[in-house]
Amino acid sequence: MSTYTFSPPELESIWSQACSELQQQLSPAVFNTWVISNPLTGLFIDGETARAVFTCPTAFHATTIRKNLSTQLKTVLDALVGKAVQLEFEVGTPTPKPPVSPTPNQPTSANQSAAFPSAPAPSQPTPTATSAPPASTGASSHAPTPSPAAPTFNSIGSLIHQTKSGSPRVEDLFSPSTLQSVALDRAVVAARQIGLRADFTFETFAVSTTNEMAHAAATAVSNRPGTAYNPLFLYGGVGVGKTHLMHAIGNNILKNNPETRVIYCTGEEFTNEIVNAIQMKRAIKFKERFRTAQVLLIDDVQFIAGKNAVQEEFFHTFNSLIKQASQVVMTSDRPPHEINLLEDRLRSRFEAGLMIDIQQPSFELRTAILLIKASAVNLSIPMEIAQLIASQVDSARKIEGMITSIRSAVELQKKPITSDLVNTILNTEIDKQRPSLKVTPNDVLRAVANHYRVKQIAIRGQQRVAELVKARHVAMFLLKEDLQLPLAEIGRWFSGRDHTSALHAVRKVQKQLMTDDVLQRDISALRMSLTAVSK
Amino acid sequence: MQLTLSQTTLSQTLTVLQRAIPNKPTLPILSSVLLTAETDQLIISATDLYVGIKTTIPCQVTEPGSCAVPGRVFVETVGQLDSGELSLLSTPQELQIQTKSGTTKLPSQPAEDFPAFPQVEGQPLELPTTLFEEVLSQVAFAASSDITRPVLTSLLWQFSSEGLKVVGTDGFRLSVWESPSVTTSAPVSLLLPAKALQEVGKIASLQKAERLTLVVSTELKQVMCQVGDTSVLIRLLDGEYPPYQKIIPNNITTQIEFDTAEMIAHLKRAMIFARESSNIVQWHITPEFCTISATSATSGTHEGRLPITNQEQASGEIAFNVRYVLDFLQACGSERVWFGMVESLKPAIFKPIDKPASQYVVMPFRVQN
Repeated sequence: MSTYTFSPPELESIWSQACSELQQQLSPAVFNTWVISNPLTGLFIDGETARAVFTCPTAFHATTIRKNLSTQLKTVLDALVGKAVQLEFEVGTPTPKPPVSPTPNQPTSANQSAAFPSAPAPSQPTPTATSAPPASTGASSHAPTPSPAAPTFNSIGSLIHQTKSGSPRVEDLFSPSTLQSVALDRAVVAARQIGLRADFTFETFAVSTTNEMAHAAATAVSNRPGTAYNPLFLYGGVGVGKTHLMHAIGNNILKNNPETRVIYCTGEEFTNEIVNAIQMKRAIKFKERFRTAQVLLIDDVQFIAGKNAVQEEFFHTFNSLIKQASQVVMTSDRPPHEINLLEDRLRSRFEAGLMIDIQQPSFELRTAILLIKASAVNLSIPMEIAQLIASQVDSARKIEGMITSIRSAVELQKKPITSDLVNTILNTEIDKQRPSLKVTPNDVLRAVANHYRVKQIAIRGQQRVAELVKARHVAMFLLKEDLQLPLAEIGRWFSGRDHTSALHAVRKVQKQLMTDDVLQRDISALRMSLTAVSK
Repeated sequence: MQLTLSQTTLSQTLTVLQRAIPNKPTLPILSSVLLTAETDQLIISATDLYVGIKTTIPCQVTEPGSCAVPGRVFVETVGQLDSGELSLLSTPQELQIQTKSGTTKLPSQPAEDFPAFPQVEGQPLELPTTLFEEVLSQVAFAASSDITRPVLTSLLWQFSSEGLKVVGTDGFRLSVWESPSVTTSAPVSLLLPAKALQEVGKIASLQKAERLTLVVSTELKQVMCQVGDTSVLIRLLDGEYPPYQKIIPNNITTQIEFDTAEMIAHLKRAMIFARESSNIVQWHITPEFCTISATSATSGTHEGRLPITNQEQASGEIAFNVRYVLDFLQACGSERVWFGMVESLKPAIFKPIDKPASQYVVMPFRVQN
């Protein structure tokens, strides 16, 4: 059996007919209080019976009408609808009706004056918080009310204090500008509590071909967390900007909504927290904290590999977060399939999201990063000096170190920025920064051979195929630079070559490094894998 | 209807009840009170259809019955009668009040014409009266009296498993009160008219009840507050409460502590000169002092210096409507108050040192020099 629902115009015509009939039966006060203010808001016909719904302003109205006026209402409606009508009374605010009122009375004013004798007319312009424009002109915003107890409305209903335009004002607490400025402050505090660096934002991130994919994905994720790319897995070598992007995602999400529950930690911190939680018997708290996060940012996730209990916990956390569409962002120094001892189920889950490789910054990008970072600390570095540094320093993190050194030299020792100064700093920086690797020459040869996918024996041999020569030179370079082997000994490792061939190789690689991005990447990748086996 | 009871009891009850009698209702019967005599008690009710009060007096009933009599006259008459026994006797047209010294006759109307009180049923929430009164004293003053924004005339009550939180705001200042002592298993959020709650508070203190019970019916949009023998029916307001949590500042840069009584004295002095200029009083915070100043175009100027505790030694400049600040300081009931601000034009926050559960946020003045 289908139900027929009356449309609003039909409803209104029936109600106005009913009203005019009831008006004749009842006294005006009774009619206004019990009929007009409790309009018919729904009428449904179900076969032989009909159902009428009235919306009453309070339960007092509903109870009293049901008790005292049901008979009259039913008789009138029965006649108009032509069926036996069941009456129902709801308490609520009727949806605003069009101004075509069936009676000359204004229902709302009749009601309200009963409740609040001092009520102004309902046509009062409402100075709502949300519609008030940011304070720039006097007349449009709320002026201070001297006494909150004394309303400043006059009888016509205009706002008296509007005449005081130009005088000092109190901005509305809930005006959009207040909300926004407090929200920004709260975002800053939230970011600080979470452990995000305030200067790591998208605005301070230099974009170039090596990282534009990662930047685009991170921006998308931060604008639509949980829906754009989930999980997002960023990987790349040291100082390529993984952490910067991750902080920028967190900062931007908080900027959009400071109340978002963001957790940022490194793989190591995650491990420590689990260990602690288990020790202190607070594993439940730990789970609750991580599993209710709306955004989880895990830096250097490769750290959890090989730790079974940690991986187990991370696996469950990860699953429950993804299930509730919470955003997960991870960074690692290598892609999931290269993380040794990572459980397969985790690996496959990491790979299910978007994986982006951030490559070593190119020479141009390094120059740009240098200039951005220098200007952030109010240091102006001439272009040629910037290029000189960029050609010598291969990672963004070292650039930061360089800037600090230059800044202290300039500010504390009052030295001008010259290429000499930069060179001095570069030499000490490089010596200081790279701890010598504790590996054997055999490790180096194995690493180089693996990297270039050639045989160790061939590298050490006499063949002069281009790719072998390249691998051989790189190996010699590493033996000299990182293992500090004497040139003559290096020569002996390669089928008894002369020390001059070794010197030539080292110099050649050093020269190429300044400009060749691929070579830089090769070298830093090799250094990374050598660091991994270093004792 | 026929019954006898003591004048004192009836008169006291009527003082409670008369707050619900509207002055000039559009429906005449609303200015009446309804008397209903049952086996051994008299029930008296009054309502303006938005707030209803119903109270019970135990008494000797000879003949049960009910009638509605003009409220104000009844209250006033009973109040003026000699103390001692009085008897009420109703005929179809009138109510007779008989005492040793005379008889008063009031016209009466049939009880059926009086609005019926809704039956409010639901899970009761119990509150100690002291707590209820504390909430009102801390929060109710911040609610608006501007009925064009009904939501702001109400207080937001948030019950949850973590405690009770009550919020009041008029759009320029905001008061938040929290307590972990009252908990509910399921979260409940109510908008209750501040004025009606203050009536309940007065009734509670008159009745000296230790606890009060709230029964909420979301379907009827009514809350029944039961205080001793009296129940007050209050309408629940509909609407969206402003996002108050979003404007509570937490990035505080300047924070100080001061003596409440001394600050009140300073502000009252400054207020004399602030009257003409929208009650603006300026604070200038230095590491050791807070300078409180006000300027009048015609009457002169005032500047006061209050020693403060300023841990971070930060300075600041801010201007308030002095009433907003006084309202809070006078209500907070703490000897010392903590104050924090971010910038001159951003919301500032007050917290009583003794009652960390309370927070008060004030929007400062934009002073155009």
